Amino acid sequence: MTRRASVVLRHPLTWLYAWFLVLPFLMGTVQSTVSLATEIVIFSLLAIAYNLLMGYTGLVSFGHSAFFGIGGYAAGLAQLHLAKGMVVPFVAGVAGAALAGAVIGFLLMRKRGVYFSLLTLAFTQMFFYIVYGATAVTGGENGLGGIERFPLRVGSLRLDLGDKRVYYYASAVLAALAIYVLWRVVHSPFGRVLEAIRENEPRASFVGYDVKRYKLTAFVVSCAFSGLAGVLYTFLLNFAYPESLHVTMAGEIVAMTLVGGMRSFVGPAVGAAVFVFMRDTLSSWTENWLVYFGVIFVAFVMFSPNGIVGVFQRLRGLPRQDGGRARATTRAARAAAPALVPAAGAAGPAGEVLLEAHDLAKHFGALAAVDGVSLRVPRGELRSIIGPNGAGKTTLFNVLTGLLPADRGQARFRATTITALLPHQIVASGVSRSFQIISIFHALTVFENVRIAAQAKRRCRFAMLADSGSFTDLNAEALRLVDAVGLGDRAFEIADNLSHGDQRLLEIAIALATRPELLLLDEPLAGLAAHERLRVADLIRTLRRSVTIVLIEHDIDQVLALSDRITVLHQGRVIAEGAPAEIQQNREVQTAYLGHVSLAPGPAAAAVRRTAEPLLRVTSVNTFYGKSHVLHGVSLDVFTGESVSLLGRNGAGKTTTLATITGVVPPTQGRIVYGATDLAGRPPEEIARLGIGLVPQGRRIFPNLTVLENLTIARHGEGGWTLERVFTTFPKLHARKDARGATLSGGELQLLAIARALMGNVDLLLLDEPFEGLAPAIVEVVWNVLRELRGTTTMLLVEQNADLALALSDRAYVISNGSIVWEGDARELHADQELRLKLLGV
Amino acid sequence: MMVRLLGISLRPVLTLVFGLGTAFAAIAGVLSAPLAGVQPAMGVNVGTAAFVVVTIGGLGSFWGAIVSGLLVGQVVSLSIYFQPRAAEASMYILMAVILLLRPRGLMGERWEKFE
Repeated sequence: MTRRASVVLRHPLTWLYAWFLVLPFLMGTVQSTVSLATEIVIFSLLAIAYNLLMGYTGLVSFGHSAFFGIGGYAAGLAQLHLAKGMVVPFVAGVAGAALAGAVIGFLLMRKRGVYFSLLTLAFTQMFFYIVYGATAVTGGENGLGGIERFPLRVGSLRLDLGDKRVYYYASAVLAALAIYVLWRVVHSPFGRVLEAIRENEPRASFVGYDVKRYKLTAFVVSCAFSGLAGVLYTFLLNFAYPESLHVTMAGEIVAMTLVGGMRSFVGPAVGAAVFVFMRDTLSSWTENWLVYFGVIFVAFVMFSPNGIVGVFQRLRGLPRQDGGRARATTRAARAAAPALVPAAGAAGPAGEVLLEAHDLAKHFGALAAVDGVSLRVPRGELRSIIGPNGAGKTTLFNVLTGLLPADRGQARFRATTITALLPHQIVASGVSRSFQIISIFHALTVFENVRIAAQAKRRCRFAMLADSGSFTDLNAEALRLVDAVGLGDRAFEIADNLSHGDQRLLEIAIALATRPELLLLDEPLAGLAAHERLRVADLIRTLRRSVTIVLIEHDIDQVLALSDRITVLHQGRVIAEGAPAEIQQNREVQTAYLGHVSLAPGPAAAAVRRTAEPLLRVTSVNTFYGKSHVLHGVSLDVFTGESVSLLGRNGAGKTTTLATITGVVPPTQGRIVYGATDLAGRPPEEIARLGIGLVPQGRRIFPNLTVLENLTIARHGEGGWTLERVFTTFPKLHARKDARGATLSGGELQLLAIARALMGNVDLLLLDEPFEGLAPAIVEVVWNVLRELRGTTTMLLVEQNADLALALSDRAYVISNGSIVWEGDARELHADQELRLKLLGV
Repeated sequence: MMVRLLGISLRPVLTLVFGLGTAFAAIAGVLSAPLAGVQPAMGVNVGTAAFVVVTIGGLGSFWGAIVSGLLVGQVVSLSIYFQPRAAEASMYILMAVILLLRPRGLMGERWEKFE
C-alpha cells in the first residue's frame, strides 16, 4: 500500500463518508427506514457546524436551533412563494440563516461567558414565538406544509428526489461536501485562530488578531451550515414546523455534540447517530426514552469530557495529532528560515526615538496607578523599568499596549499615536509584549503557539480553506523561533505540560513571533529558579542585538547587568532615570524602595516572653505549583506574642509560604505544626477555624457585599473581635459601613481586610503585603493599626517594604528563590544597611 | 477560596442553598397546582419564564428578580390583551432588549464568574 493510500485510509472523513455510504443498508438490517438514515446525516452536519462554535471557538450557544429552523422556513417559503424548484429554496435557506446569524452575531460579539449563552437562548425563544405567532406567514403551530421535493436536473441526469433513497444520497453528498468545507475551515489558518481564541482570547488579540471579527465570521459560517441542515430537514419532512426552532432542539444539538465529543472533528457526527438511534429504538421500548438518554448525557459530561470519541481515544491511548506536516520540516529548512526578528535598523535609523510617552496617566478610582509618566526610548536600547510593587509598571505596559485606555497623555510608537488604538492594531504597528502572569495557548503545542503568533503578520491569517500546515516558510519560521529560545526538543509537546521556566521562554517566543520592533517584557524572570533565570537572561542578551526592549524586572542584579538605561517608577511617577551606575547611587531611589515613612523600631525583642514551644513551627517544607518547585525546605518559627517579618524579593516564595500555611497550596513535604495540631492535609477552612487569620495580598474583599457584610461573614467561634471593637479601632470603616466593597479606596480596603481577619477567632495573624500600593498617608494609618496590635496578636508579616516591616517586628526571616537565607533580630537587619543591600537588593 | 480562608466550609453551604432553592420551587409548584393543574410538563414553561425573570432582573439580585417578575407579568398580560399572538414572544423580546442595553440585567452587579 502506498503511503498516500494509508493517509487517506486513516483520515477521519474517509470513515465518516464510508459510514454515510453504508448507512441505508444498515438501516434495512435493523428494520429502520431510509428517512432515519437521512436524519442522521442531517444532524451530523448540524452538530459538526455547531461544534465550530462550541468545540473550536469556545462560544457556547444555547440557541443554535434558531438557525436550523430559520433555514428550513426560509427554504419552504421560497419554494411556496418564489420559485417552484430546489435550487432557489436551498440558496434562500442558507442565505436566510447566514443573515440571521450575522445580525444576531453582531449584537452578541461584545458579550462574554454566561451572558453570551443567555442571549442566544433569549433570541432563539424570541424567534420561536415569532414563527409560532405569525400564523398568516408560517402557518403557526400547524407548521408550513405543501413543500415538495421536485426532481432535479443535473445536465442530462434527472434526479428523482421524491424517492427516499435518492434523496438520502443527494443529502449525503451535500452534507459530505459541507462537512469537507468545515474540515478545511477548521484546519485553515483561520480555524487555528479560532482555537487560539478558545484557549486564550486576550492573548490572541495581543499577538495581533482582531478577535471580534474572527468570532463573528465563525458564527456566521456555523449559522449558514446549520441553515443548510435545516433546509435538508424541511425537504425530508416536506414540512417546516416551529419546534425545530425551539430551545429543546437547541438542547438536543448541544447534547449530540457533547455525547459524541466536542474536541474531535467527527465526534458530533457520532453523537448525532447515537442520539437518533436511541430516540428511535428506545422510544419503541419505552415512552420515557429521554430519561435514559439524559442519564447517558450526564454520565458523559461527568466522566468523559470528550464524549464517545474520548472513550475510544483513551482506550487506544491516541495522543492528539498535531503539526504532522511541520514535523517533517528539516533542520536545514529551520536554519534557512528568515532571521529571528527584523534586522536592526532595517526600518529606520539608529538613534531614532521608537517609543515616546508624554504625561501618561491611568487612575483606578482614587488611586493614581500611573500619574504623568513621560519617557523616550531610542531604537536599539534596552530600557529597564524598576520600582517597588504597586509602582505602576505593569499598568504602564497595559496602557501602552491598549489593554487599558489612558486617562490622560499620549504615547507614540515611531510616527503612530498608539494611545487610542486597540491591542491588535498596536501589535500590527510593531509593538509586542509578554505577560507577568504567563499567558499562552495552553492546550496547543509549543510549535502551534508560536506559529499562531507568527501567522498574525501574514496575509494568510484570514485564509479559510488553505491547510494551515502547508505554509512551509511559516512552519520553518516558527520552528526556528522555537529553536532560538531553546525549546526545539519540546516543539510538539502541549504547552501546558512544560515547566514554569519553559513556559516563560515560550511566552517570549510568542511575543517575538509577531516580529516586533519594540518588545515589552513584563517580569520575564518572575518565579524562575536560578539556572532558569540565567537561560532567560541569556536569551534577552541575544535578543537585544536585533530588537529594542523595555524590561520590567525585580531581579535587580540582572537589571543592572542587562540595561542601557533604567527608569525608576514610584507611585505612578518617574522619580529617576539614568545609566545603571547612576541609579544604583541615587538616594531617592533607595528611599523609594525602602520607604520614606520614617518610623521608630518597636520595643525590644526581649520584651516578648518566649514560650518554650512555638505557636507555629514550619519544618523543611517543599511546595510545588504544578511542576514549578517554589519552596525548597523552608523552616520558620513564630512564638506567641511575637511579630515576625518574612522578607524577600518578588517571586522569592513569600506568598507561597503563607499559602502553604493556610492550606491553599498544601506542602509536598515537610511539617507544619500549629499549637499541638499538625496542619498538613487539612482544608483551608479548618485551618482558619483553628485560629489562623489571613490578610491576603490585594485585600480580596468581597466586592458585592457591604463593609458590614464583609465583617459579619468572617465571624466564627468565640473570642473574635466584636463589631464595636472593630468600629472603635477603625473609625473609617464605621463611617462607610454600608458602602459596597467595590466602591472602597485602597486604604479602606486594607483596613477592612485586617478587620475582617480579626473578626474570626484569631491567635495568629498572617499579613501579605499590607502596605502594597498605598499612599504614604494611608501607609501611616495602617502602620499605626498594626503597631497597636503588636504584642496582643501574634503576627507573621510578609512585606516588600523592609523598613516598614522591620520596624514592626521582633525577628525576621529573609527568603530568596524559595529558601530561607537569613534569620535573626529585626533591629539588627533594620540597622545594617549593607546586610540589607546584600539580602534584599537596593 | 477567600471564603474558605475565613473558616467557612463551602460544601454544606452550597448543599443547603441548592436544597432551599428546590424547596421554594416545590412550594411554588404546590401553590400553582390548583390553578394550572398537575401534569408532568408543568415545570417546563414555568422554568423558562423563571429563568427569563432572573436574567432580566440581574443574576444574583434579590430585588431585581422581584421587580423583573412584576415587569414580565405586566408585559405578557398587556400583550395578551393588545396583541395576543405576540404574547409569548414578548417576554423574550423584553429580555433581549434589556440585556443588550444593560448587559447584566436591571439590577445585576458585576460577578467575576459570570463574565
